[in-house]
Order: sequence, then C-alpha cells, then structure tokens
Amino acid sequence: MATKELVAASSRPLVLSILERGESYGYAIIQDVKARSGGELQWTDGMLYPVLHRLEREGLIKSRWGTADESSGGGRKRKYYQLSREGGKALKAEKTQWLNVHNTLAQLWGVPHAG
Amino acid sequence: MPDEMNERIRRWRLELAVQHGLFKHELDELEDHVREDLERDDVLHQNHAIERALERLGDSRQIARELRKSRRLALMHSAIGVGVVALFIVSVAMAMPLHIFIDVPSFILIVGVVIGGLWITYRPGQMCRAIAIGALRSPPRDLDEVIQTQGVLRRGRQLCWATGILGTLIGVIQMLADPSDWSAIGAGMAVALLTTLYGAFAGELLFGSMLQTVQQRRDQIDAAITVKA
Repeated sequence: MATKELVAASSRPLVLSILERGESYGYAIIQDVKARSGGELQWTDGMLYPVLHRLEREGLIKSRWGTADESSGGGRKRKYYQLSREGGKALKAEKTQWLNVHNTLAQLWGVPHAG
Repeated sequence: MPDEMNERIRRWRLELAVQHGLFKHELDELEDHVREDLERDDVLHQNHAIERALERLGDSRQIARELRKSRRLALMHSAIGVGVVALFIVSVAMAMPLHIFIDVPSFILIVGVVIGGLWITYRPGQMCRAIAIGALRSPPRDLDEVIQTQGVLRRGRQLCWATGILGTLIGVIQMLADPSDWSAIGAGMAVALLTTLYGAFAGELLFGSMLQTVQQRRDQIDAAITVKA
C-alpha cells in the first residue's frame, strides 16, 4: 500500500491522466484509480474533491454541471470534469518528471525502464 | 432512496454548511458521491449504510478545510475590499486635521447606548458570539445561532442609527438652550454632527458589514440544505 505522502503527490498526475482519456466525475475517477492500482492507491474519497477544485482554479481542468445517468443516478446533478489545453501541457511536464524518477529508481534497482 | 436516508443526508449537509462553511455546489458534488456510493453497493436497505458511506467519504472537518483552502481567491477578494475602504478612510483623514472628527461625548454616547441597548435583549455571551461570527467568521454551532447572530447585528445597526439621531437632537437642544452663548453653538453642533457620523459609520461599516457576512452565510446554508431526493 502506498504511503499517504506518495498518494498525495501522485494525485495530480493521476487525475490529469484519467481526464486525458475523457470527461469524468469524482466517484468514477476514484474507482478508476482503485481499479488500475489494484487497490494499492487508496484515497480518502472526499479528499479528491479539493484536488479537483484546485486543478480547476489553476485552469488545468474545466468543469460543467450535468445530470447523472438516468439508469444509475435518476438524473440528479453531477459535476463533470475535463482536461483543458493548459492541463494537457501540465500533464506532459508531469509525465517527464515522474518517468525520470521511475527510470532513475529502475536503474538503481536493476528493473526495466519505462517510456 | 428511503426517507430516513434523505433525512440523514439533509442533516449532514446542514452540518457541513453551518459548521464548516461549505457552499451548495460543493455539497451537491459530495452528495452525488455519497448517493452513487450507496447505489453502486446496492446497500440502500441495509442498516447504517448511510453512516458507512459517510465514513468512506472521510473526515468532514478535513475535507471541508481542504475545500475552503481551494477557494483562496474568494478570501483575497474580501481582503481587497477591506483594503480599499481602509485606504479611502486614511486618505480622507490625511487630507483633513484629524482632531475635528474627535468628540469624546459623542463617542461615549454611541458606545454606551449600543452596548446598553443590546444588553437589554441579549446576554453578553450572545453578543460576543455575534461579533465573532460576523467579524472573525467563527463557525456557528447551528442554524439557531446564525439566526440569533442576525438578530444581534440587526439590533446593533438600528441602535447605531438611533443614537446618531439622538445625538443630533441632544446637540440641537444644547445649541438652543442659550442662543446668546456662541461657544455653546459650536459645541452643540459638534455633538450633533459627529454623533450622526459615528452612528452611520458604526451602523453601516461595522454592524452592516458583519450583518451582510452573516446573511450570506445564512443564504448559503438555506441553499445548501435543499435536498432533491
């Protein structure tokens, strides 16, 4: 299980990367992270929302209010997020940084490099 | 969704709005999360399902603190407002000799009547809490305390204006007591005008601003506790 600090530090690139794949909303983003990390990255669910709001304030993501899918949510209000152009650039920079960290550690530990 | 769950969600929203100052749009988003969590797990009819969903969401205080931090721009906006008012007052004060605005009897009259007038209706603790909530944005305990604070501040504003008028009348009476005494006319005029000035200043800039802050909070709470089941 990842430490609290690592979870906090990785929240930004994770959210940006998920939104790069298309529009999404809080609950779905959390489920996506849980599924992709095999449960290794466990967020306190509610703490994702301040991260989303901060990214929105920085202009890296955009939001709109829509309704939940009729079949699951009965049409209640839901806030959807998508990556902005600025967010795309920020994600590119994040990717470079995280791959640098990954590759340095991989080299030290003798495991295959990424990207 | 069962009625008791909707009621629990309504109470949870009220607590987050009153004690933690969250806005309607923030609560709508969190509520959507909790409702989807309940629906996905298909636990709607299990005991304590809602409590467990709220637990999974995390510590309300911590989430609220982080959400408030993420809207720092709004805080900066109020700080700029206070700065502009202060700048204006300082520049007026610098352009004129300050002592002409000072009249101790008028000041004592305003402070005395406002505190005394509030004391008739409210306890000192209630007055202190109203100032703390209105001026220092201290979180209210519940909706009743917000309503009570509005009452204290509204009464404070009325008393400031009333004392301003009272001071004007006292000053005029003082002036007319002996029309041949020219020195009394000046002193009476000072009391008449400065009490009105102090009353307007304290009533609108102090009590009025605090009242507006609490009114905004009340509007935010009223909007936040509206739950669409």
